[in-house]
Amino acid sequence: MLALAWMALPALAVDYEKEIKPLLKERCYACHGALKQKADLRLDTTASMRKGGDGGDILAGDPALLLERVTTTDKDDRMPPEGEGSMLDTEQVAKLKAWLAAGAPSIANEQPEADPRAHWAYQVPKSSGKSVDALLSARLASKKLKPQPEATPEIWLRRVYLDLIGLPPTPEQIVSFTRELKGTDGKNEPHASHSSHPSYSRVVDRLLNSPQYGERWARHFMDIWRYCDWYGLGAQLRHSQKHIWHWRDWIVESLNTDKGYDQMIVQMLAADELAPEDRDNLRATGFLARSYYLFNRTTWLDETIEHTCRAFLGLTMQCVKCHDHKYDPIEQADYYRMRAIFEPLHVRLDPWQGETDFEKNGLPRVFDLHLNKPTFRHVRGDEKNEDKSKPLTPGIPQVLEFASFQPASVKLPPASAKPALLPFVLEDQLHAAEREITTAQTTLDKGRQALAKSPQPDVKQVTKPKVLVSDDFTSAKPDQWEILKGDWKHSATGVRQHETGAERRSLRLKSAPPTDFEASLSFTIRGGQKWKSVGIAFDSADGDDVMVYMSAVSGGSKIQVAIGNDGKSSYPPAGSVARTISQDVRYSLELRVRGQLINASINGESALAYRLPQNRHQGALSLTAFDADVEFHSFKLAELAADAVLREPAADKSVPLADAKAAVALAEKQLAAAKAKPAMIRAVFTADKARKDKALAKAAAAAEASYKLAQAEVDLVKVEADPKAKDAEKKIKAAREALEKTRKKAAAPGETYTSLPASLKAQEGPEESTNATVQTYPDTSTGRRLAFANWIADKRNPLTARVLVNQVWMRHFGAPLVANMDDFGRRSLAPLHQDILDTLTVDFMNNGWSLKHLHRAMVLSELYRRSSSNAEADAATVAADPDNASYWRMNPRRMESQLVRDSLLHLAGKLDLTLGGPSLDPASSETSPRRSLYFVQNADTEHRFLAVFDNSNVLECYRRNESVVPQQALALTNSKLSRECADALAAKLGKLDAEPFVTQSFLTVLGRPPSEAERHASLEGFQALKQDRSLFLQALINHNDFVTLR
Amino acid sequence: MHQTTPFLRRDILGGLGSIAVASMLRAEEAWQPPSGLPILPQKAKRVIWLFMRGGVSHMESFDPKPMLTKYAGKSIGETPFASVQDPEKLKKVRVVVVNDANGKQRTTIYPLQVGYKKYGQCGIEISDWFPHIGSCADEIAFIRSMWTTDDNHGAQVQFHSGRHMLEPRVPTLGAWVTYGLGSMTDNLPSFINMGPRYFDIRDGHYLGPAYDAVNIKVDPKNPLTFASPEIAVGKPEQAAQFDLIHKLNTLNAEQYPGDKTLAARMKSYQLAYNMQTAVPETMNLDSESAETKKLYGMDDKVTEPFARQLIVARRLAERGVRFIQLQHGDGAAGAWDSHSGLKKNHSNLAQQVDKPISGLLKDLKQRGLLDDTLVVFATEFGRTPGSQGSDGRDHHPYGFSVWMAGGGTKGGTIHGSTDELGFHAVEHPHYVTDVHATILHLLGLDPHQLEIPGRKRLERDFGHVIGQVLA
Repeated sequence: MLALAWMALPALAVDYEKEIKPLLKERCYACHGALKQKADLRLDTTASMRKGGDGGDILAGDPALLLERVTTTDKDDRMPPEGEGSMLDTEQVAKLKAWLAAGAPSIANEQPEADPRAHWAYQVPKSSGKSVDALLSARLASKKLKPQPEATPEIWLRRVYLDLIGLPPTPEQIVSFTRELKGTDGKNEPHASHSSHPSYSRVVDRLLNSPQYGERWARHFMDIWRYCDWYGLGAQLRHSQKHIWHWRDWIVESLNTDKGYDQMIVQMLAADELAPEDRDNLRATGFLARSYYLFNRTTWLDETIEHTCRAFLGLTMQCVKCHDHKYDPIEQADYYRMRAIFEPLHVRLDPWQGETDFEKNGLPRVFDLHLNKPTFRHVRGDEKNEDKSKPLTPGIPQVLEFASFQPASVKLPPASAKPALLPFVLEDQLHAAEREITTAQTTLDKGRQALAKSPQPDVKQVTKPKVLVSDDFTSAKPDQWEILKGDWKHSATGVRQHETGAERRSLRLKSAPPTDFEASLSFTIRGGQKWKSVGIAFDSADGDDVMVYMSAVSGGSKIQVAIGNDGKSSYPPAGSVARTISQDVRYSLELRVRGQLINASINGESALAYRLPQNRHQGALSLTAFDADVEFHSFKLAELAADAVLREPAADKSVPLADAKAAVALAEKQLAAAKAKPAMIRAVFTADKARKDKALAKAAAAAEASYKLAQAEVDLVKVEADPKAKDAEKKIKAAREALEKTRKKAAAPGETYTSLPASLKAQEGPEESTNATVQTYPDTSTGRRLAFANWIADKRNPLTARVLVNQVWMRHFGAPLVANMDDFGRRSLAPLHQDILDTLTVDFMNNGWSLKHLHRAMVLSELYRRSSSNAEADAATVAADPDNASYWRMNPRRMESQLVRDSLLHLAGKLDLTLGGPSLDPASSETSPRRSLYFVQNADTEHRFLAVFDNSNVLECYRRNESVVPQQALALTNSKLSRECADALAAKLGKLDAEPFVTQSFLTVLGRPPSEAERHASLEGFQALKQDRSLFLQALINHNDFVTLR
Repeated sequence: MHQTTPFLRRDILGGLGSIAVASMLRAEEAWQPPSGLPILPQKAKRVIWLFMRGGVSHMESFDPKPMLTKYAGKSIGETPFASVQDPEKLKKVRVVVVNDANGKQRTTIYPLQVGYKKYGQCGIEISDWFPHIGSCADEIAFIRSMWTTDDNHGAQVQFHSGRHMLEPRVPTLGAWVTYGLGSMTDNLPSFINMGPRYFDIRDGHYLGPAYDAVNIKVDPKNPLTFASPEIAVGKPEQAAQFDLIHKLNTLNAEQYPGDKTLAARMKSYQLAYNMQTAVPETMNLDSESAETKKLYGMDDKVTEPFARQLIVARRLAERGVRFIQLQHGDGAAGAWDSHSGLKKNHSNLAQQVDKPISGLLKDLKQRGLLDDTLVVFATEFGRTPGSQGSDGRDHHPYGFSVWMAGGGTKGGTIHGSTDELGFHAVEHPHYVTDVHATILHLLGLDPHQLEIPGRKRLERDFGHVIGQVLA
């Protein structure tokens, strides 16, 4: 079908160079060019096509082989092959046909594709020995382009402040700088040339030495290195790590101390292998911990490989996950050789000095865990389809292999394999244990005080009550009791009712009880399907009654008042108190009722005081079992003595006696456990440190067993005190069993013990639940990452420093030297300014990979002082280079989102310059005065203010967007933040007259005085705003120059 | 009454979105961003995207499967259709959450929970939970043969972007449409989202935040972040402020001639100012007739919330918004996620959306807007033919239904089918990007030609236009 379509088209005149060659390049060269020569065939020149491959000349014949293979419908023969690209379309085929029909004309001196290894970025950079400005001047001269003059000193100053510390200069700093320039010049002309004036480099030095420099540039590197606080679903950590901010602080500090970039790379990839005991620099490995992903190991390692290579090397390794690279001389196996470098990698939290709770603090770090795990190639990138025929050894792409890749296994110090041995762990754990003792003691003291205040058993009466009924149920007394349902059997210990199920079974007292009475029932619950309730009902008549019962229901055992009305019961919450009520335990329920007031005690301790909401109606009294197999042992009914004191529920604010006793019992056990802990900690630590000392191990095991026994007692008391908890009965049973076990263990502790909980291994998948118990790790590391890092940070690596210089250049000059920040492969042609790039790169490496040195070279250049305006520019220059590719002027840039917010707060005098610390709640970013880099940033968090100014994308951000959208206007005009900053600034400026106010406002907000026209428009606008200073200042905040680095 | 200031009368300059991208990519010389003009014949000018979050049961909405009732309670292996469980056929799923409680094979067949009726001249069968949508059957093209690869709710991201959660994030369809076609309004954003988002807060991704959907609420008092001053300012004062900003930026433009970013910023202030009025005005339904409100179901408290959103959607469509994205169903996973109590869940939720959606289709039609407005009804996946627990259905990526109406689609069409159990899409199976490709095609865009330097839309699996649903 396709073939017919193209044959029907008339022959066209086709230009080989413009139409055929680009087509072949795009669709065929990857396999038939310099990179690869499948079937021994190249298509990069007509000569090589004529020479042909295995099948001979592909241009000869009708149809020519070339045409045949791109048009055939045979899947085995089609080109490009299935999965390597779609078929050529009709138009493309028609062009090929026309070109062939015309005899496949070529061009003169057609050159084959260059050897991929000759690609410019794969060659070691060479310095020209000249300055940036000299190289640029020469280029501009050769292109006959005329550079723009210098911008005003104020503009330079604002540029360099925002660039180096991320905050604009204050009016005082501006005035002092311009005065300095004038003063030493002895001239009044501030715009004269100052190219070598020492004030410039003094300012730059001061800024580079300011701690805010580290914060400003850390934010850039946090973009490139994908800084991301942990997130997941609810409490489940799925991405990154808790406390990853330690890595952020390490970045800030490393920049401030001007640590070499090469060192930074090695520390981020392999600090644990380089210097395992250097805890400060272990923070650097947050770079790798950041890519942790709970659900999928391959996703985690894919991200690690992709972004390590894009960030440091400008190498697009992600392309070779599934197939050989289409542009670069890298094959699929290279991807898995690189994966093998990271295959052993895992993440854990190490303890942070001074804190033992990993929720509060900890050091996220990487280490080699799976030392011998093989790496297999994933066929077509499919993780389910591993090519198990041969495991891959760790390695780097051959094209960049300037020295052989030889990882050497690293022996780790004891504390790396066992974080419990870190010098501060013992002290921290003991401190924590002491705090526990103090807390337990305080709790116990309070509990004892509460107990002293608790109401004592309700027996304060002088008169002996008149006993009306007393029965021990050893025999049936049909004249006294009427059976209302149930199967009642008498024995020597009482009467037992066996039937269970949700129905009431009662013994009703045949004689009427007195209105005010006291009654006590002794019973044991033997079983029941669910509710297991036993109680005393009274006032029973016409379907109404009142009942007080105890229920041993699992998960909610309690004492409860139930009010029956027309056969339906209600259960007032005020009439319910949770109590542990168990099966096979003998209880005594005592009731005292006077009018509407009911007091109930259990085993002589008051448990409940309740006042009935309505008047009582006299009725019968009965003993009831509801879904309970129960034995009644005895019952007593008496008149309530007139002097018996009953408690009112309202007055019952003190802790009930039973609760107070339980609290004291728990606190006592907790204190005992807390006191056993330090001994355990010491013994365990000593045994760990000695390693394999039997006597010490025995002592540790014994101390641990004693502690665990004490803890088991605490656990039992705890679950017993919470009978309403879910599965309380099960838990109590389990706690009793656990206690029994620990008793046995304490009697014969053996030699095994648990190390101190000094690390938290990240889960290896959502199913792993015992990760926290792992406290010992391998005592060697493969050394693969260290070898890899050293290869990246080697002066002979042609990419690393170049990629960095390009990143820094883009951030100072608004446009990169190499357009693709993260791809220096063959798709990136040699840049126009390669000489500048290479010269800076060599200079950078020769100066200890110092970023501060690099900044100086850039911001003290003439180019950096150039105006960014086209005004009065040479018309030929504008026409020849409208996009400023040759840097004949400076490029204006828009502030990053963090700069907008930080600058606003700084102008308002509100910015808090505290350095470092845990990431802050993102919701507070519109009210907190901290710098923007300190707020939680992850893929689940949106900062509504920062988001509108192109906040960093935590998934990847090699270059920020600089969008212009109306939401930015709305944010700067309508947000509380912008208005409050304007208010604060207005207050700071004070009540100046209109003219000086306008001048001072410009200087403060825009860093420069107004022009005459601006002054005029501003004064008019100020009047139109009814001289509202705050609204005027807010208008200036909305000036394009505010968000712009001019 | 305050005087209109000069700022408000100034003419609108050029396109905005393209400037943002141009400045971002100024180092690229050969490449040009899209012109904002369609490159193919344009049938639809705008899209209203109705997304039911959580996974609508295809068997109980638009794809009747009487065999489920016939074999109810039997295991799939006992039916003549045992081959649907062939492991080869189940391979396409890509699991994110290993050993999750949900997203499993459910083998005990669960009977249909609702009856079906035939609707319209086309006689298409639609479940009794969607009678109003049924009454529009002649306008709708149903696609009963969708499949996807994520068996969990990351499939929501997948349906919007075309890529599985475990792959790098890419821009969503709405972002590409806005990027490819630009804006038709100077008062409103081009890409708007209403309702709870699927869990991915960015739409534009590498296209940049200029292509993120702007989230709006149907509350006229607070429709949009920073839509009105958070600290009160009088209207005349604010107008004077915008006027001053404009004057100063105009003077700045003399100092920096030819600065495109500055020009774009000036225009953005114009749009921002207009948006402050236009957005709340769009949310205000006072001018809508009682008849119209009734048509959508504004008079019933069950249908009112979605009805209000859909009337607003129509008003946004009339005012030139390009891509109007609605998400129905609260909760992290989405309300339609009926692992248990499917009958109660689906009948309630269907009632919330059925009448409003039919109201939208009828209203668009009577206003002549349906011809160039494409309405899409979609969900992230279907539900298992087998039961989960006693009365639910689990996630099911192998076969499910979506539909489209208006905007150059062929109403009264059924396209594709699942097998007798509703398990696999068997006839004309379509991955989610086929829906994207079809939408782009109707909008006059070539799914293969959307790109920025270094990035093509999706890189692969661009999707194929579903020709059978085109008018």
